Amino acid sequence: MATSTAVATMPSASLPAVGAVDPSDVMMNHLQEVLLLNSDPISLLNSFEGDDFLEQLAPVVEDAVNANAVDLLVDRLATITAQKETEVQELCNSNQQEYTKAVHQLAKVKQNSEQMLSSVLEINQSIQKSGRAFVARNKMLKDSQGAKNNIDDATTALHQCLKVLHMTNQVYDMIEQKKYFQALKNLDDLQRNHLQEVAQFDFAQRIRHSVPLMKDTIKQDVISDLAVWLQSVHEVASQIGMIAFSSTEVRRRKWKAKADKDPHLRFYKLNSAVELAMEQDDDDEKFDPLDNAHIKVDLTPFYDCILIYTALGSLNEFREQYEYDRVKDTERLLPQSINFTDDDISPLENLLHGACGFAIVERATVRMAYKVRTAESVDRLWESMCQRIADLIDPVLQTLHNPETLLRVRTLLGLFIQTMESFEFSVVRLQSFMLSLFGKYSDFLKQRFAQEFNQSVMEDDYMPMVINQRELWEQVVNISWYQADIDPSNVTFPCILPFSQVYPLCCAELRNFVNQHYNFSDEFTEQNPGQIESTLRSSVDQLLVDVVCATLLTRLKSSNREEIVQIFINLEYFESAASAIERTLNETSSIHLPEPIKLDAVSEFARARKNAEQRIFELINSKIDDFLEIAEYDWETTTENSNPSSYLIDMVRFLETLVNQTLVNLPQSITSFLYFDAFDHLATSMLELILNAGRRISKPALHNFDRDVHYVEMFVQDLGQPENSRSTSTALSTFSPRNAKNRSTSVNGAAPEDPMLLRHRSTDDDGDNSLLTTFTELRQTINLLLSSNIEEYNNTEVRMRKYGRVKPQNAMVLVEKLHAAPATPSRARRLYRGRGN
Amino acid sequence: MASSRNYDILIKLLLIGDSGVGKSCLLLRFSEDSFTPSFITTIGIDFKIRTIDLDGKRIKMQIWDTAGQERFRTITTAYYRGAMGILLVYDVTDEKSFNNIRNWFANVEQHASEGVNKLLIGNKCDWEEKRAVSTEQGKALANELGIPFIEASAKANINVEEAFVSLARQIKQRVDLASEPQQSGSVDIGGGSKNSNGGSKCC
Repeated sequence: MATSTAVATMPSASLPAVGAVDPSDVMMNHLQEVLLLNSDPISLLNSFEGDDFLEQLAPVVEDAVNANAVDLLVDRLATITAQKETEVQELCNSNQQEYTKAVHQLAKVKQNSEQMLSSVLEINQSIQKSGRAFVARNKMLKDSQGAKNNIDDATTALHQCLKVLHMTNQVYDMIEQKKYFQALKNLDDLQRNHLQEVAQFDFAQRIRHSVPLMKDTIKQDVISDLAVWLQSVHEVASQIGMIAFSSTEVRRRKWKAKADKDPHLRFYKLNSAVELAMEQDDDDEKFDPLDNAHIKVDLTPFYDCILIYTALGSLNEFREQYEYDRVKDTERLLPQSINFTDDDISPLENLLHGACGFAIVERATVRMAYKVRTAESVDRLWESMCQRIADLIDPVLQTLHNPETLLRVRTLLGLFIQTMESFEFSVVRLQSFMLSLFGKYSDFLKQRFAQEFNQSVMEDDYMPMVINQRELWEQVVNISWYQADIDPSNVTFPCILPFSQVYPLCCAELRNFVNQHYNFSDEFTEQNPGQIESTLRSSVDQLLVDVVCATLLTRLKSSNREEIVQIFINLEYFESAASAIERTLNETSSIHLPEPIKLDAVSEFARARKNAEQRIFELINSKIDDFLEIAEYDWETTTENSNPSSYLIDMVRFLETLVNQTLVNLPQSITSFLYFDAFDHLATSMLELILNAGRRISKPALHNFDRDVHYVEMFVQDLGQPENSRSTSTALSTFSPRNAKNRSTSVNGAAPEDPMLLRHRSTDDDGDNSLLTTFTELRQTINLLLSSNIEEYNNTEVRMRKYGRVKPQNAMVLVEKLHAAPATPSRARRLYRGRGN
Repeated sequence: MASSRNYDILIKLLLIGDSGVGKSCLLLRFSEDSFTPSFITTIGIDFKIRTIDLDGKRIKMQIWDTAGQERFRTITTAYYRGAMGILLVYDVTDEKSFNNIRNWFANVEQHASEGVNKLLIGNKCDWEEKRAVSTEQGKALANELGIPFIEASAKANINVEEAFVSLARQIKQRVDLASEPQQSGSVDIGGGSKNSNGGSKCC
C-alpha cells in the first residue's frame, strides 16, 4: 500500500517525454509509474519479490503488444534500466552491496520479463490458433443443422406420399373387394385432402388424373355387378312368379273356404280390403315373394348402384339407363311369339310366371328406391307388358280346339291378375283381356253346343221318349225342368215322357253350357261379374234363339207330320225351360239388376210354337184337301148310296188315327183349336162342293151328300166328347149309329134319329160339342134343302131358329139347283123374293 | 160327270215292310224329291199324293205309308183292301227285313183285294258296304212270290221314280182293261167291295 501511495505522489513532470497522446508515452508513464512506485529500493526490491509487479506489468506488455510498441517498450525499459543503473551505481556507490544485489535482481527481472514476453507471444499465438478452429467448428455445426432439417422435411414428405399411395392402393383393393362406396369415399378423401399435400410430386398428379378413371371403373364395375345381379334375378323371375302364384292360390283357397263358411264374405273378393285385413290377422308375417323359404333375392347390388351413382352425382344417368335396360329386359322376357296347345300350356305358364316375377322385382325396386324407379315408369312398363302379353296370347287362342284349355288359360290368367293386383299393379287391361277370353270361351261353347244340338236333332226320332228305368227317368226329369204330373213314386216303367230325346239332350247341354260359363267366371273374374253375367245371358239367349229355336223352326218346314207334332210338343218344353233358365239367371245373379233378366228365347219359343201350331193346321187341312180332291159326287145321280163316300170313309179313318195316335200328345187347348179349324175347313169345303155342283142337284145326290155330312158330323161329335168317354179303338164301329144315338140322347135328350135335331151349339156354349158348330151352316143348308116345306125359310122366326146360319145367296143358288130340271125356276125366284122382303 | 176333277185315274198304293226299311223315305223321295237322314217312325198311317202323266193320262196317286211297327198292325191292315198296288219294301242291309217279306206277303194275300198289283223293293241299295241281301236273293224271292222286283235307294235317288211309276203303269193297264166295257172312268178297281167293310151300318 505504501508503494501505490508513493507512485501517486510521484511527480508527473518527471516523465514529460511520454506524451499523453502517444500510446508509448502512456505506456512509459505507466511503466514509470510502476517502476517509480518503488523508489524506495528496498521496497522496490521487496516489490520485485512479489507478484504485484509482474501483474501490473503484464497489461503494459500487453498494451504494448497491442500497440505494436514492443520495441518502444523495450527501449523504454532499456532507458529506464540505464537510468536505474546509474541510480544503482550511485546507490551502489553508496551501497555497493545493495546495489549489486539489486543488479542481480534486476537481471533476474529482465530475464523473467523476457520469458514472460515469449510466453505472452506464445499465448497470443496459441489463442489465435484455437480461434480459427473454433470458427471452422462453428461452421460445420451450422451445416449439419441444415442437413438435418432437410432430412426431416424429406421424411415428412415421404410419409405423406406413402399414405397417398397406400390409400390409392386401398381404393384399388376396395374396388376389387366390391366395397365401392368406401372406395369412392376414400377416393374423395384422397382427392380433397391428401393429394393436395403432395401435389408437388409427379405421381400425385398422376393419381389425381387417374381419379376420374377410377370413378369410372367403379361405375363400370357397379353397373356390371348390377347386370350380373339382374341376370340372376332374371333367371329366377320365373321362380319368383311361380312362388307368388302359389301364394295367391293359397290365399284364394283360404278365402274361398272362409266365404263358404260365412256368406257375408261372398261379396268380398280376393284382394278386397276385407280380405286383406283378414289375411293380415291370420298371418303375422306377410309373405315376401323375394325373401321366403324358397327364394332369396338380394337387392344389395341395386342399392349399391344407387349409392354409388348418388355419390358420383350421376343418379339421373343411372335412372335413365336403368329404365332403358328394364324396357330391354321386358323385350327379352316377352318373346316375339309363344306357342301353347291344347295338350300343353306350360309355355304360357312360364311366360306369366316370368312376367310376374319381373314385375314383382320392379315393384320392390320402386318401394325401396322410389327416386330411381318411379311408380309411374314401372306402371308404364307394366301396361306395355300387359298389352304384349295379351297380344301374344290372343293369336294362339284361335288355334285351340278344347274349351277346357281356355279354362286352364283362364285359371292361369286369373291367378296372374290376382297376384299382380296384390302387388298394386293395374289389372284393368288384363281383365278386359279376360273378358275377351270369356267371349271366346263362350263362342267356343256356343259352337260346340250348336254342333251337339244339330247332332241331337239329326238323331232324334221325334217320338215321345220311352224310359225303361227309374234311374234314367230321374236323370231325365232332373235335367229337363220337367214337372211330372204324377208322384214320382207312382211312375211305372216303361214310362213315356211327352218330349222326344232331343229335349233332355239339349237341356243337358244347356246346363252344361251355363255351368261351364259359371266355371269360367268362378272366382277369377270378380271384377266384372256384371259383364260376365251379361255375356252368359246373351250367350244363352243367342243359343236358345239362334240355335235351338232357329233349328227347330227350320225343321218345321218338313212335311213330316210326326216331326212337326213332336217339335210342337218339344217347343212347349223348350219354352218352359227357357223360363226356368231365366229364373235361374235372375236368382243366381251376383249383382243387383236394375230390372229382371228377360230372355228373348221365351217369347221366341212361344212364337215358334205358334208357327208349329200353324204348320199342324196346314198339314191337317192339306190332308183334308187331299181327300176332298179325290171326292167324287154325281150330283145328278138317281141312285141313293147306302154308305158314305169312300173318300170320306178313308178320311174319317185317317183323321181318327191321326187324332188318336199322332195328335194324342198335344195339349187339349191346341187340339180343340186344331179340330175346330180342321172341321171348319172341312165343312166349308164340303159346302163349296155342293155349291159348285153342276146345274142341278138330284134328290138322291142330296141324300147321298147328307149321308156323308152326317157321317162326318158323327165323327166330329164323337171327337168333342170328353177323352174318357171317347172310343180309342180304331174301328169305324165307333161311329155306328147306335153309339151316336146313345151319345146324342145323353147330350141332347132329343130323338137322335132325326139328323136335324143334332144339336149345333154356338161357340159360346161351354162344352164339348162346340166342334159341331163348325158344321152348323152346312147342316142347316142341307136341312133347308131336305125340308119338305122349303117355304118356311121365308118365315123370319123359323129362319132364325132353323136356318140362321144359311147364307141367303147360297140358299137361293142351291134351291135353284135342286129344282133345276124338274121344278120351275119361278119357285126359286119366289123364294128369293120372299127373302128379299 | 159333274165333278171338276183334275185327274183321269186315281190309284191307291200301299207301302208295307218292316220298321226302318225306308218306306217313308221312298215316299218322300217320290212325292217331294227330298230326303232326310232322320229316323222318324211313322205313327199309324200317313199318305201323300202325287199326280203323274202316264201315256197321256193324268194319274193321281194316293200312296199310303204304313207304320212298320207291330203295334200299328191293326190300323195299317185296314188299308190293305183299298189298295190297288202294294209295295213290299225291305232293307238290303237288313236281312231280317228281307226274311220278313214272306210274312208281309202273306198279310197281303190275306187282307188285300184280289188282283192287287205288288212290287218288291230292296231299299238302301246305295249302301253297298252294309249290304246283307244280294240282288240275286231279292230277284229269287220276287220270282218265288211271282211279283216284280227292283232295288232302289231313297237317299241316292235310285229307281224310286221307276218303282212307283212301273207299279202305277201295271195298275193302269189293269184298270184300262177292266173298265174298257163301261168307259165310265170309275176308278174303284180293287176297292169295289170295300165300302161295305167299314161303313155298312152307317146311317
